[in-house]
Amino acid sequence: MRQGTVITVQDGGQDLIRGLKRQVSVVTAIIFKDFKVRQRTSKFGIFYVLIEPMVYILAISSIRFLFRSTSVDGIHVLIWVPLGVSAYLIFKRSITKVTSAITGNEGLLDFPQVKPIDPVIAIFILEMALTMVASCLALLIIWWFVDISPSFPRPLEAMGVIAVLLAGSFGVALLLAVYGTFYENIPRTMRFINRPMIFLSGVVFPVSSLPTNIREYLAWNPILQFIEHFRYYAAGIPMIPEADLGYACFVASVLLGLGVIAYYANRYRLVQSR
Amino acid sequence: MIRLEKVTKYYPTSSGLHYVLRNASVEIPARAQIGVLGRNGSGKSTLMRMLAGVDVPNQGRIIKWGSISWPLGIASGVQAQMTGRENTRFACRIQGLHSDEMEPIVDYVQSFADIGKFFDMPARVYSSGMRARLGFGITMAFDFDFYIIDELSAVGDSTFKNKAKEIFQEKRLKAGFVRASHNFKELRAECSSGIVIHDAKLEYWPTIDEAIESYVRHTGVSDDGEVKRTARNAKLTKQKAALRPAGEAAPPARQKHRPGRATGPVQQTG
Repeated sequence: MRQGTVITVQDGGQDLIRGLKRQVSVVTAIIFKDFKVRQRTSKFGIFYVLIEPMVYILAISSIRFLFRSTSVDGIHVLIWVPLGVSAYLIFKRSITKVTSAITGNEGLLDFPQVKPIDPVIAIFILEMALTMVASCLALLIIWWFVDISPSFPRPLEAMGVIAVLLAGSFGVALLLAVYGTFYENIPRTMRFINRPMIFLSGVVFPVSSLPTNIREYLAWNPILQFIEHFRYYAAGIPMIPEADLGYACFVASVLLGLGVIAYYANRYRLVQSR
Repeated sequence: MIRLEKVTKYYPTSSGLHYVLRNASVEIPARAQIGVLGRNGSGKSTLMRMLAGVDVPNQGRIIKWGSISWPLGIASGVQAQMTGRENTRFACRIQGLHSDEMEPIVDYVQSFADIGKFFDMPARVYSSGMRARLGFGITMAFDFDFYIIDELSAVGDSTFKNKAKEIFQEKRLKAGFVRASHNFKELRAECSSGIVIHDAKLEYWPTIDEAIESYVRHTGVSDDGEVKRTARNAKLTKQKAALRPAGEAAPPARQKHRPGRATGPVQQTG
């Protein structure tokens, strides 16, 4: 059975540029709206975004200190941990915060200009911007406080790794946002599955210290790959022999592709399901 | 202009598919003033949502020329977490307006809605009338080729209704309206043609009087908007009486709509 459609004809035809402008306007509007609402409903909400990386860094560093180690692979723990946490938080926050973007903004779909993907893009941009600003602030404060700093040998590559990680995380968030609208247990289950990821991604303990056979299994985790490469490019921290950026980029592309396909295949169902 | 081509719309229910429209085809000319009639649950709101583009048909096509407003209803278009001012700015942003173009619109909406200090409070604390004022003000602040209005006349005090009437008169000179309502008087005053939705069928009538007549014929609602006392109603009353335990007195008669009549007609609501 062929799906029905609504076609809008303006000034003689459909225009890609007009559609793009519309989407930019809508995404900007949702970012403004979400930031304002968060500011008003809970001042602590914005504050929490800023302190979360710090809390993570301090908690994980404390665990390291409990094991009486102040360095990992010859690098100070307060450089090793914050870099891993910053990259990990990008994935974690896209799983936990962005997946409810469609269901949480259902009312906005009363405006024909707003398409279901727009709140996902807007909330992803807002969350990632807040997370990255908060992570940078946390890193600067901690490094200033203990008077250390990483060497940043290859900053462009480090930013490239973060960009690919963002693309992959958006793909996962879009997939979960689409299917989470139809099956409400999906985001909840993903949050549960995500819990051990912090231990499996080399954020708390260095994977390099594990036996080779375990490391080979863990190397299938793309988040671990991203964190290893980010640490390497940002601070020259040696990578595990199994590190493979090509694999990480491939997984990120597949996830992004799957997210876009899932949205495209369900774009009408998302509107009809309300 | 809006054209519906073999539009079918249904909702899955536990007892199978519930069709609200089947193979509906109609062409609504530009600047038409159309009243939409149908019983509660007949699919008026679904049709309005599809015309506005916030819902899509299961089969068929809707082709629209020109700009069409979002469906303006009692609460739609007003986000509960945002203040009246923020709701207005949000609508300006999604319409692609720049910051310097927003202020005159915000001032217009504030003056139209006339909700005082509530304009800077989250809409979740508004009454339904206040929401309707705000939503109506925001929609009317923009120029569309077609306005989609869904049973808005059910709320608002006389001041609001008068304001709404004035602005309708002004807008109808340059735009079309598709308006769902149960108020025949209002539809006769403001619409030139009509659509009746009945049993998943869509009928287009070139005059609103014909549309009302068709609606009356299909539903048993009298021409002044009241439901006729039917044989079925009488049967139900008899069945209720039979179920009452022996010896129990019948409940006291309800307040009648028309004094001096033993059984008054039931007022059509919603």
